[in-house]
Amino acid sequence: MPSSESDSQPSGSAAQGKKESKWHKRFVQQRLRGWSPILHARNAELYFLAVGVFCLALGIPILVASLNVVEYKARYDLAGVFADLDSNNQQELLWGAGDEGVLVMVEIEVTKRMTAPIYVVYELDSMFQNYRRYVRSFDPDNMHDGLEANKSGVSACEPFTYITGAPDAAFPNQGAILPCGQISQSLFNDTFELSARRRGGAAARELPINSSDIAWASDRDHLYGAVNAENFNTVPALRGGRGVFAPLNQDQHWMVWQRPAAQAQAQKLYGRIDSDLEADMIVTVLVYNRYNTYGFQGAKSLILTTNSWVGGKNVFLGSVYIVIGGLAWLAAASLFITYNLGLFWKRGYGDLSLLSWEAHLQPGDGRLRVQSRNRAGEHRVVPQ
Amino acid sequence: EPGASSCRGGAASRPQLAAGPAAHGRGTGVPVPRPLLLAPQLVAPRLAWARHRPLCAPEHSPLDRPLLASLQGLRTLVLGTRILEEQWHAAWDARYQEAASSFEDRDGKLDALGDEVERELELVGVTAIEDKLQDGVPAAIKTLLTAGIRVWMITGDKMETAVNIAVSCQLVKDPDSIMMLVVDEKQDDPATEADRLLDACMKRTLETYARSSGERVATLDQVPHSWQAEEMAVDGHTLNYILVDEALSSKLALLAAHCSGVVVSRSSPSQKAGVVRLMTAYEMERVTGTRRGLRRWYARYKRRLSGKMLSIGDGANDVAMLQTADVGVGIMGKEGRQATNNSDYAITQFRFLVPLLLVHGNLSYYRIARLIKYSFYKNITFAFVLFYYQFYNGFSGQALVDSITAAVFNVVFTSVPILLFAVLDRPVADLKTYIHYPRLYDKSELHTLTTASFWKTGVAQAVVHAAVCFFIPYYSIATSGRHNITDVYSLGKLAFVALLGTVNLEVALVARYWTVLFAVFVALSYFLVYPYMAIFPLIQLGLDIYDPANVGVSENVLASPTFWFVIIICNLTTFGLRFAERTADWSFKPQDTMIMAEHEEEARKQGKKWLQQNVSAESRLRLSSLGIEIPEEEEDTLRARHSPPRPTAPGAAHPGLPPA
Repeated sequence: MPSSESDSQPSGSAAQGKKESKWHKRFVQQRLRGWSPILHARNAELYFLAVGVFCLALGIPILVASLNVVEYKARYDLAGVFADLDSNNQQELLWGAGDEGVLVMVEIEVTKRMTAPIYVVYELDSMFQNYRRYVRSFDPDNMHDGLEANKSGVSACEPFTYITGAPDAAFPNQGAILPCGQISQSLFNDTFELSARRRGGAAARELPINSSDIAWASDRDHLYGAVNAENFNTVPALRGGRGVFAPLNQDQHWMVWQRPAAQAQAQKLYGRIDSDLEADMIVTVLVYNRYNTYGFQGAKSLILTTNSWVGGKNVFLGSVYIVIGGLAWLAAASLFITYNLGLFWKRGYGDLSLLSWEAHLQPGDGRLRVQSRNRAGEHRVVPQ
Repeated sequence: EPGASSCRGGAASRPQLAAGPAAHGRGTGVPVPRPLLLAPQLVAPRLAWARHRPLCAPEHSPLDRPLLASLQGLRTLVLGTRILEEQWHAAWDARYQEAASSFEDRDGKLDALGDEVERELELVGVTAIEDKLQDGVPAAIKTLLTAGIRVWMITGDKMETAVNIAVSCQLVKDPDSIMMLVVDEKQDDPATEADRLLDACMKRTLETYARSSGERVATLDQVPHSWQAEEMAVDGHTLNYILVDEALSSKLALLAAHCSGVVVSRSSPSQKAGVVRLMTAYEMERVTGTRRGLRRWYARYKRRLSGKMLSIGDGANDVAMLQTADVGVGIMGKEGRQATNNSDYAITQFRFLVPLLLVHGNLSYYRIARLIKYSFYKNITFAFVLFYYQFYNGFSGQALVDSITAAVFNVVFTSVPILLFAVLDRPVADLKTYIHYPRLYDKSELHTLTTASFWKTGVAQAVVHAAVCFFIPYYSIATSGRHNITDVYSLGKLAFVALLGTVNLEVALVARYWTVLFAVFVALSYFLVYPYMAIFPLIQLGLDIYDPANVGVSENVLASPTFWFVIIICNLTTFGLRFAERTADWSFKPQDTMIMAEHEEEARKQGKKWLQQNVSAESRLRLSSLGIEIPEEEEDTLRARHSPPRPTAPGAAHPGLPPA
């Protein structure tokens, strides 16, 4: 009934206000029940033993898998005509070549069978894509919504917002760049053509590189919009790399490039080869060399690698597991030797004679298990 | 033994008489102490029938020994009567009025006139009023003394009352041998007299030290600081001359520092504060010694950290003292609220000082030490993860963790466990243990918040843990096909989750008391990061924020086996390092509370409260006066535990057990 409800409501809430909950009382009175963990050496030994087993059980498969990854790396920036030039001349050569680039060739000798998919990765040494100013030079609204999003005029992309650094009527849209920022501006523009032949055999087989699905699906679907590039690396004198001609979220190479590498030496996925490579094959890499790493003494390499269940070739993780597993066993063993065998010192469990103010007692005097009937002492002390 | 010596101690109604020259030395040639006279002794010669009899001869006096003994510690009045002739009184009164308005030797004249009346008295009776202490004061003081706390009694009462109270609360064990530092008010040169008394007391203390340690030293400052034996009483009149003179003050401080009990009586409010200041200055001087410059500053700094002065009082005249000391505790009593209004802590009973210091003090120290170290630890760990990365990005300042995640690290992911720790954690499950074992209060053995432990646990460990949480992810990321997580944002997620696990495991490992609440929040603090990683980018997308540091990063990172392997090994490594260190500490150099915890655990296995098991009759009494009742053990469980079953008559008490 509504009337009785409204009658009982005030009295009920008043009673509730007065009565503290059981939990609240226990909390403020420091009476919450709890468990005091005891760090006994025995538990630690068992723990470290188990950790050792666990680490080795994981580490060995990880390491084996990583060791079984077949990876070949060929540095190509000094290949061909670039070999004997100093860095100024190397740059001159690149600039002179224009859009075509300088065609150089390197060969990769495959000594172990590689099963598909074989990943083609390019590596730029000393690239420092993780430099703060470089990472910051990125405007997500610009790349998702197009130039309209840039109306505020303030952009993280500065000074890579306009082709000439300021609005300029000589260019469409006042020369506003899409995608803006230094990451985009420095887009990698070397291209590769691969072919494989048997050692001693003459007939070379074309190795098509599949670049269809190398960027993150999330970048394609959420981060970047289907907007077309504008004023992007269109002026040869001002450009840092290639242009983008498809809608942004369909240019896989651009999307890969836009994720700045964590390490100074940037490794970027270029594509996939969907056919196996037998041992004793030679892969010829034709590189249209356009990207200028000569100005900062960088290095460019091409990597062919297979993949394992833990990823590419990296013995570090597996080794860490094995080392930590070994150290855990070492810890268990040294605790056992020093404590349980009593080589260093073994103390009685809960031995009150070890209390700092009981220094006059002999160790073991206050052992818990030895109790006398004498109730006069603070704790029953009986010589063992 | 001279009869008079048994009359020493107790309250006297005429203190100036007690300050006369020492009637008899102690055989050692040292002129202290002088006897205190009880009121009955002073009155006895004035009684009509006792004119020519020795003071305390029990066979002759109604004020016999048993009576005197029973008056110890009481405020006594002896009442006598004498009938005066009216003319005689008129004449006497005229002379009295004249003496009272005299400018010369008024006290002497009044005394002489008083003597004329107070003679040939008929004894009417003796009143004895007990100046009742609050409940549990002796037990509280005993507990504090056991805890290694030096206790002084500073009072405005008369010397005899003060000593009496000190005796009854066990601050002074032997009133017969107490050193009295009392200068006669009639002395011409009180400062010289005070100096003489101080020298005599110091000589006596040195002799006691030589006797007890077998080592003879020339001056008192060569005696170890921790050695205390003699008890001393000083009064406000004497303090007047001592506190104004630097040389005398330092002598008093040195002497008092080697006294196990000190009673200051008849002190004014400013003297109470002065004594506190004097001893603070002395302690500072002691630790600095001859150090100069930076070393002197460091010694003073350390002393400021290591020792504190606490004043406790209930009256308005204690206010200055409460405010001078580091900590002032006011007792809410019948003497108004002045003391509590000017104190840092207010309690209602003196004995509550024991839980305030031993339980709350201990816990507060332990919790704050951990809170401070952990707060530094988790922030330094975070900062160093970011710092290490600078070596790899040209010191450009690129943050490994995006700013929103960095903000929630401190506010959401790591704040609650340490706050709960600082509210709930305790090294022993049963807090009564602290009162039962007052020595646990002594922090000299326990290096919880020393400079070294701070740098080790708060800083060095943080640097190491940060290295693990940065370098393992940094060198483990590798192109891994479709889930290649080599970009700076993915590395940030790896390092962040590894770091979060590390700092939460750290607080879980140092916790000594796991409540359900704590466990839940430790688990939540860590595991919330996964929903956060999944949901936060969706929220951003919902708000049209296209954040390259978050959108899509988590789903790729979480799908990569590298991520999970890195998290596991980072946390195993940092936890293992700390776990091994803590276990080694626990096994090889256990703190007192660790042993206590083991003991508690063992008792719990036997189905008992461990205090119940360990408490002696004496401790039970002490704890009971402090308001802590520990239930007696059931007799049959005792029997079952202590002796093999043997045929006894049903209901017969066990012969080895004290009566219940």
